[in-house]
Amino acid sequence: MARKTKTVRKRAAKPAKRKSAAPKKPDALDAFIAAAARALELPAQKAWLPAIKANLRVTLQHARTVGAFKLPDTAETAPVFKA
Amino acid sequence: MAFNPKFNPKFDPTWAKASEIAAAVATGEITALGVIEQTLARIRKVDRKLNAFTAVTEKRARDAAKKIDQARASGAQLGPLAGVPFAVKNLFDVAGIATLAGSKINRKNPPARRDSPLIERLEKSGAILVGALNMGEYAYDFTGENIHDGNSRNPHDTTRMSGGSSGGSGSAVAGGEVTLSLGSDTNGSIRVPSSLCGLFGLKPTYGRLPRNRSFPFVDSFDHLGPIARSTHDLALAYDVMQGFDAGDGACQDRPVEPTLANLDRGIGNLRVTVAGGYFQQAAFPEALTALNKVAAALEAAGEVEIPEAARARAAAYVITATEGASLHLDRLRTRAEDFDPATRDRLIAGAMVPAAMVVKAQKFRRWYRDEVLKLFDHVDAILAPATPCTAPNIGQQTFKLDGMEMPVRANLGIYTQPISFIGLPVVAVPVPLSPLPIGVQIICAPWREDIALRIAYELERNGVVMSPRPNI
Repeated sequence: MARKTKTVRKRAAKPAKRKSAAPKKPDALDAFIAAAARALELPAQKAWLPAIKANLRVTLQHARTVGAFKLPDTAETAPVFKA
Repeated sequence: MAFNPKFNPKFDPTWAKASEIAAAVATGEITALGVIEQTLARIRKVDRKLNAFTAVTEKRARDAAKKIDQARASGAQLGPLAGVPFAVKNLFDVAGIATLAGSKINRKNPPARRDSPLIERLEKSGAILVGALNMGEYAYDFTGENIHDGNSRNPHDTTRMSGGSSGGSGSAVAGGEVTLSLGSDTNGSIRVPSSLCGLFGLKPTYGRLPRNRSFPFVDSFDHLGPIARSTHDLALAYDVMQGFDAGDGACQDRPVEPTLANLDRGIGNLRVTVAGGYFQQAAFPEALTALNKVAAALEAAGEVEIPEAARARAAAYVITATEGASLHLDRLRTRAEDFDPATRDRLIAGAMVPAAMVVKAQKFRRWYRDEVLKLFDHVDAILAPATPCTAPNIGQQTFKLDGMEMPVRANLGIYTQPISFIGLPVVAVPVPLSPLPIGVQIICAPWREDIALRIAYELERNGVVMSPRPNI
């Protein structure tokens, strides 16, 4: 009985070790922010990253909402808007 | 006892209407200097609580008042705003003062050389500038909070937000520090503080009032306009500020279209309706109560669906984030730590949004404008809430919209953004609910500020809307 318990413990410990040893894979937005900050020479400090990510996620979500709207190829922009 | 021309205890300019002050100065009931001394005393007394001002231009105000009093003594005719004290959001250029735009960074800028055209036009009509007003950093804000200058506070409850970004412009007028203020409105920054502080605010048609010599935010949507405690004062200030100025590339060369003379024409055959769907979906009960009161008073006919309003708000959000980031990109690179983190992190995120998405948002804007303008073939005005709720607590980070916990800072303007997105004129009117007021938008077709003001005046005349006087 005692031997059995020992074996179970050993097996349980192994996968946990592997999991903590493996490098955490950054998600796509983290990687994008890191690359964009470098390319645009923006000083995105580590402590700022969660807020930048949260804001970018919301903005991109809004952009996707707009992007999902079908417009004809001939649609014109309104950069200088005239009411 | 000799009459002291500086004070007239029978006349209280700190809560008088602009036209009443101008009439009192014109008839000699009070001097312009007397108005200004009482105004400055009021600012000294209450601004410790409200934190609306970032600069008080005492000497300039006294000098201007003396000139008006001298002009009267010499028999000259005075302007329609003679002696009326006003102040401006600190993104307007005021000669001799650095234009802060709510930032720490701009403090080192050289003082502005010349006043904004709107200040010049108000002063030409006799109004007297008494200072510059607190605001959210670089106007990217709906709360009225500012980490550099402190938060502007709501005079109806100083633990509550004034609304922003023209927070000081709301606090100062609602607190009786000035009769009029000027603010800017990119996504709602005149209408949100008007709603939370219980004031009348006019966001004119895009291109109506010149914006040169003011610090920009999002050129595609930036508007300037007045905030006041009555429709009459709004119209008076708006009329004297109209007119083309080539210094603003978006300003339209149109004839001046005065509104004051037609204010009391009543509703007549005007067709008024209520915005449904998106504009009521996330509203708190108080916002709907206010909307229903105004709609009932106007006998508004049914509801209209403003097409794709949620998507319009999304597009406004994207364009704001990216144009704002473009404006501040160099400062983000070199002075990032001097920004309010809440502004900085939004702007850095905005800098990373792909251009393809921004262009799509601008294309959608064109489509949306065409669709919304069709509605005005059948109606003259559309009513909608100005804010989803009354003033939140200062420091409050989130509130529940439609069952979801959302950030206050970005979402107080959910009902204003789809309107300024296409430059429509709006008057925000205050419904005096207890314990806090809340605003309703009167939205009209381009260049029909006159209709929005007429409706606001009728509501005010019937006692449905009014600026409640705070106990401060």
